[in-house]
Amino acid sequence: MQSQEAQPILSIERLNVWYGKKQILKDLTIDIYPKQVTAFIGPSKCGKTAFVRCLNRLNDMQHDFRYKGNIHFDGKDINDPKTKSTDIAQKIGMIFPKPIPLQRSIYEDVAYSARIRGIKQPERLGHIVERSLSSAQLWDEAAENLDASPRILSISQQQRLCIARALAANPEIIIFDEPCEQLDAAETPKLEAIIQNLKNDYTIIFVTNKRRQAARVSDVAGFLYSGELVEYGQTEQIFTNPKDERTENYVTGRLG
Amino acid sequence: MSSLFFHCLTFTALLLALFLILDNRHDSALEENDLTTQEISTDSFYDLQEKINSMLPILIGSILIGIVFAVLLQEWLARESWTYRIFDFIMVILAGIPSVFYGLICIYYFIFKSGRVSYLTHSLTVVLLTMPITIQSTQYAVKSVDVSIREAVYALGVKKSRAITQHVIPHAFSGIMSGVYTAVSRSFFVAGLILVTFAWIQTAHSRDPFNIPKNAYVFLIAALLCSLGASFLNRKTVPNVLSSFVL
Repeated sequence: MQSQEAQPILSIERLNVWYGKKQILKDLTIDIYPKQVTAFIGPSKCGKTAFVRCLNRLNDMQHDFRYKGNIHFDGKDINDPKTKSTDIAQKIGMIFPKPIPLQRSIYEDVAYSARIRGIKQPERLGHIVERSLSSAQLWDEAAENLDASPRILSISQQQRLCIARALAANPEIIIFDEPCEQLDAAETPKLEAIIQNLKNDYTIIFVTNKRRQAARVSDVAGFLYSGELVEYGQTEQIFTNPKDERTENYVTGRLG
Repeated sequence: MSSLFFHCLTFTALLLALFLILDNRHDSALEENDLTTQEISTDSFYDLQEKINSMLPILIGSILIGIVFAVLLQEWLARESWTYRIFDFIMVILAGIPSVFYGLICIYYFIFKSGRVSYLTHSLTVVLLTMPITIQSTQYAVKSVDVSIREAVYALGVKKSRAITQHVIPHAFSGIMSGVYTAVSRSFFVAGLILVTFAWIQTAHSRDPFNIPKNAYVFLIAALLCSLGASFLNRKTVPNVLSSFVL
């Protein structure tokens, strides 16, 4: 974790989440610090995705979603009635397991997020598209096909296109929710390298159930089990010297 | 592309049908070859024709309102709320009633009670005929849009109204149009049925029961084309449509 002077960009206090009558998260309290990769690991159905969807208010889409607790982003309560969910979603971007191109061309897909921010000038849009595609390491592969449909891209390229689209929205935090789930082993290191580069400019929250990947990519890690945050600390400590027996069982492969 | 082709085909058929209906208003129905003019009152037939034609704006309006209502119902009303459940229940019941039943109501009000009921009553029968099926199919179409598309859009900070108009409705377009074609097909079929029934009543002693107005044929053919259009949009492939049509 970062030094005591650094202010957390996200503070989660006693977060409880229910989908219908089922409690998904129990009393989660975490501080997430800027410009580092924070990974959340745990077996499937332990509440990782439910947790990160609370951070950008994507859970608002769920009709049976209920929560209790506070999430502060830059000191402001994100669930305050005065806070618009669209503003939060723009500042906290999200990459999903399955890439979903939204527009008819690669250029339009990336420019779409910038247009949502109100940017209309073609030169500025072009610059944003180029910068975002470069950050997502797709510029070299797509520069000559910007008007082509995103469907011509491979799954890995489409995932990088989604990263570029998220970057074009100018977020402060980017959530990666199992981004390598659909990728083959050869493409995974490329995406991990992108995440490592992005942490210089953005705060990264990374959700995965691949233990080794979390160990490679993250600076800080949290282990979730049955909706509880069992352990949270430096990645090295979590993987080499866990304090809780359940964490040890998970990282050594005896659990989950 | 194929979807676009079938939209174009059916729209062309619809336009052609409407053109023929409007073009033939003054000469087709009651030419000597079509009906035995001694047995039918020319004025009353034109009257009926006028009433059916005057339902066109009601048909278009009820379909458009139905689409808007279904989107609002599906996207803005919580599915657990009582309001949603009540509306959903009513629509399931109304859309499930066979169109023949509505056809009988229409025949009753357009032929037997024609002079004694208002334009509003006629309009209501058309609304009952078309709106529930439009609402239900639009609801299904909107519901079937992959949730990952909505999530991807909302995660960019897109407003709900924009997400629905720019992403959900385009993805649900085929399903919505399928409902529209079904609704139009139902109303054209009933319009044809009214004309046929009227002609049969008026020519009860005629030796040829198929000696009915040309307009009725036009309505029935248009209904068939719309029905085929809806099947194409639902089933996508020609063999599926043909097999469903034959069966």
